[in-house]
Amino acid sequence: MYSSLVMDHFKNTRNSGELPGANAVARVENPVCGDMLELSLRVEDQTILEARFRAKGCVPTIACASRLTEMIQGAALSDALAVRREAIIESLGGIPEASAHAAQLSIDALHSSLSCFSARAQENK
Amino acid sequence: MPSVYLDNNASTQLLPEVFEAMRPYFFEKFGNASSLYERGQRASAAVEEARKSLAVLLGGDPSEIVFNSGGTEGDNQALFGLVSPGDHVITTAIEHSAIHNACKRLESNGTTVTYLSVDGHGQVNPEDVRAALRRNTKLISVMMANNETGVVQPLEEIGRIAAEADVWFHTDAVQAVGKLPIDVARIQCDLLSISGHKFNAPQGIGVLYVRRGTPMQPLIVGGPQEHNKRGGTENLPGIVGLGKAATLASHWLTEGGAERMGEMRDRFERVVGEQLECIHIHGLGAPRIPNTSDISFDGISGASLMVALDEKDVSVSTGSACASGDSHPPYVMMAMGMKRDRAQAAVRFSLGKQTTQEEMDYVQTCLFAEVAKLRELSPVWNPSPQDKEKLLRLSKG
Repeated sequence: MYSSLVMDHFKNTRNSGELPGANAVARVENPVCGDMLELSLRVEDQTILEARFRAKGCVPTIACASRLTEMIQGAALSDALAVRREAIIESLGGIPEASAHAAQLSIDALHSSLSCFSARAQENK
Repeated sequence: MPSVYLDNNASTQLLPEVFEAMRPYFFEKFGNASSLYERGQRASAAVEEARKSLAVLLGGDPSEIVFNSGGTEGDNQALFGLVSPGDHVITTAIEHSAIHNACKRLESNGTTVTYLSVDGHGQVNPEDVRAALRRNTKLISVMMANNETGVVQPLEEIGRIAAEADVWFHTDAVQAVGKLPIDVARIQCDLLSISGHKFNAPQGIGVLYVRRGTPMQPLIVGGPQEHNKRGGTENLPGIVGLGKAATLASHWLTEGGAERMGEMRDRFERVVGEQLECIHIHGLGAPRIPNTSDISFDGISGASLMVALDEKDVSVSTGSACASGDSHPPYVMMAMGMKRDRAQAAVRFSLGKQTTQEEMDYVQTCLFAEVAKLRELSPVWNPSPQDKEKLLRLSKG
């Protein structure tokens, strides 16, 4: 049902857990299926230094989140914001079409956490 | 540990004795049961022998047994063969999709259907059946045991209500057959559907019990087979296999098989409840078929747990949306009043006659480790410090 890369990220998640010192955190939920993703980032000098995730959901949700953290850790904010769900899916060797929402959830969590970070940065100015 | 199969509510493995009974009817005893020469008559005799075995298992007369392709066909035949536009049908919100979708088709053709709600255990209240009766009610259809939870419905009471109201009564007994004693006279049902592959017979063969005098029109019209109730050349090896499975099931039931299986299931639930916090066993406290355990594990997704267990060679099922490719939560759970998160966290374990205690012990060990891992990953699972330590221990298996 799932590619070997998806299963690898499911069984051996990268960067899972909480992130002490995170300054960009968001929790998003798919209202239809109930999958939930919490993304925690530590951002400094316009770069994502660290990324962690926690998830409750189907295998693609967990795998996409795990892969996303690999893609954005160490990346400039502008590069991270340019990540598309198709890139996550392709880098995992594909996921079933019915599971495309899983990759979208990862993108939503990323954008939401970075919006939170931007808003906080504005407040502090 | 070789692969452990705990999805017997989906389908069951053929028993070796069933296969051996069938084998000659593919080869040296091959024949068409409608043919008038010796070979055909021997085939016909084999069909009638199987018919007797099914009558023993279900409690009816052999002349009331109609062989078909399985439960879905039987459900369709019961509904479409009896109900006409302008009639009213009473059923429940937790029926198998064969009944649900057939009812939707009937509604589009001018039949009205009442879908009765169920309580938190998943049982329908017989008084709700009585209250739903109308002057034009033609048929009541209530399943005997639910495929997700295993909960058994109060069919004797419903049968009494149907008889008093002079309304035809059908039950989908697909999940109950071979797991519980069935007596169509005690239930007072007029129609009853079963599928062979739920009790160790082959896929593609089943029975619709049709009480003598029930004015049911055939769904499949063709030749005069099955006393004009179901056209088409008989599936001879399938029928022989079904008959053998019925004989074996009858023996298993009278020899305490259901009680032993129930004890194994109950022990599993007890141990899981002792080791894992915040689990919910659906239908616990209500009468259930002895092989089914449907459990929600708070904080995680049933779809993920199913795949995690599959990686450990344990086959279970979940009605969770993502697993089925359908974005909606499992409707049986929602009909029981369950919140979406709990419904999505449910996994069904359905034991079979071949399931051993050693296998169940292995499943328990895998289950504790995988639930612990998924809960550790979950943003909504907040254990106490003591639970955190236990979680860490369990996740290391």
